[in-house]
Amino acid sequence: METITLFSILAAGIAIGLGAIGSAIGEGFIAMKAVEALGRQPNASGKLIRVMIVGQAVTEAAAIFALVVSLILVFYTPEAGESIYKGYYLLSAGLAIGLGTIGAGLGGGLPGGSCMEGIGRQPENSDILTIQMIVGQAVTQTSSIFALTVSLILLSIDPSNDIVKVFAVVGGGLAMGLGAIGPGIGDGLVAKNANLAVGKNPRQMGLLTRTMVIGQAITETTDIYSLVVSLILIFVV
Amino acid sequence: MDELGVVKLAEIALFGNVFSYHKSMIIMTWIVMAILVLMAIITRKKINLIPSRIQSLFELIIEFLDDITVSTLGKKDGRKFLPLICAVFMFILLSNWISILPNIFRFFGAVIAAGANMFGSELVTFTSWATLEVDPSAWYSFLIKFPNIEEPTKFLATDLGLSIMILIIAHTYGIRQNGIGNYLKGYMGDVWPTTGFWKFIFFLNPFLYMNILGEISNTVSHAFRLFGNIFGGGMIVVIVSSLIHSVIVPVGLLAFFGLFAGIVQAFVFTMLTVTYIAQQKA
Repeated sequence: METITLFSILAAGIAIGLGAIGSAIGEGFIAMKAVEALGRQPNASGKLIRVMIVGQAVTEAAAIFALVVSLILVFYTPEAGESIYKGYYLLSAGLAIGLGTIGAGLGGGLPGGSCMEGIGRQPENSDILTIQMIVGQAVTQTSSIFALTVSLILLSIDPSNDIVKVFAVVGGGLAMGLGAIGPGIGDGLVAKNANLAVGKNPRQMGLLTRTMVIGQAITETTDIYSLVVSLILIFVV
Repeated sequence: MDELGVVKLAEIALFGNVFSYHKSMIIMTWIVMAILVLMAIITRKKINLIPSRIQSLFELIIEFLDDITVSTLGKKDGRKFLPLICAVFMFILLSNWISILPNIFRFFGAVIAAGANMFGSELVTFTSWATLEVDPSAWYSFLIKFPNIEEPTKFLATDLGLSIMILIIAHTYGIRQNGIGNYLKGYMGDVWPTTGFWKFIFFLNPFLYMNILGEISNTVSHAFRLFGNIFGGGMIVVIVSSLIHSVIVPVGLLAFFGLFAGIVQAFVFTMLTVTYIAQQKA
């Protein structure tokens, strides 16, 4: 039982420690662009600050996912007679969410930054740009949501006593966590330039949003590979 | 704190199967729906050219969503989907916001129980507010047993239900818009030829499976995005409140995770609904 607690504490540290990296950089990027835009358009400060806070809040969702898993792990009380291999499951859950939120946090910041740039150029487009930014950020978060799904599954299933199975589960957590870094950043890049394009040509927003979501969906296929491999490792191997 | 992660399930037997559900989720969902219907009836009764306060609130929401749906789906289809989009938005918004209400039923029940205990009632065991036990035969016991006021969206069942509903609606729209042949062809990707002999070995096409997986993952992430944010926010509020003995800070936390994150997530869910429907149009 004590072994499980050791593992859960370690996993809690890994989850929030790694999970805070991406969101922090992303939010900083939004604030940086907001300050830059403020220098260009001091009159639009109200709009800029409002949209900046919305964008930062949505970006922070990735870190909040990591925080939630971390808190579950901190307060994890093992049942009497629970197999000590549960510790590896908890470690795997921490790795999955910690690594998995780096990309989504970073990626969420990119469209926010370009939205700030757009508002700095043309403050009257701020409504359209905000909508576009939120959609882009929401789709960018998909990779961290898959990581959250996998780590909630890992937290709730009963451990196996087979050592091969246990290592497969740790591998599954790593597969999801590492696999989610790239798609998060890639999705963010798509959303960033879609947002720039909307800032230049607000009338084409419908077309741009549709194209952006399709592009992001294809970028996310590698994320789905990771999810599938991770679920196979957890349930099938 | 010990209540954290404890799931209270109720069970019903139907056709030989046992189904389990969250009691508080069902009750809170009905309360949210009742509030929405009541507000609609009240607003509908005295609709006027010069809007009253509640009418202008609804006009604001509908105008805002009308702009978005019409600009993405076109005038005809946008107006057709507007009631759905508004309903989804308002239901999720009210669901996310309802947890900021204090549980007055339980509060009054506890006050009555404490008073009864003071006057020597046998039905109450009262040592502190946390360990309050009331005999079920007391008339005020239903107040104590009133379920926690929780967001229905905090439970995965509500979110998955909503996102599967959107999936079915979007794909039905896609089939009606493009015809079943073109709709199915959309899953083959542009690289794989769809004529002649190739038609019969469509199941060898790797893009087919990737596209189907992509659609499923859209629905899963649609539901988990709302679930993760609302569940996570609620959990942070509970844990931080209990760590600092609920002094002042929970108000700020509820303002952020309840009000602000609630409206942002309701908007995100609605926008993605519009986008998923618009994707089927092409």
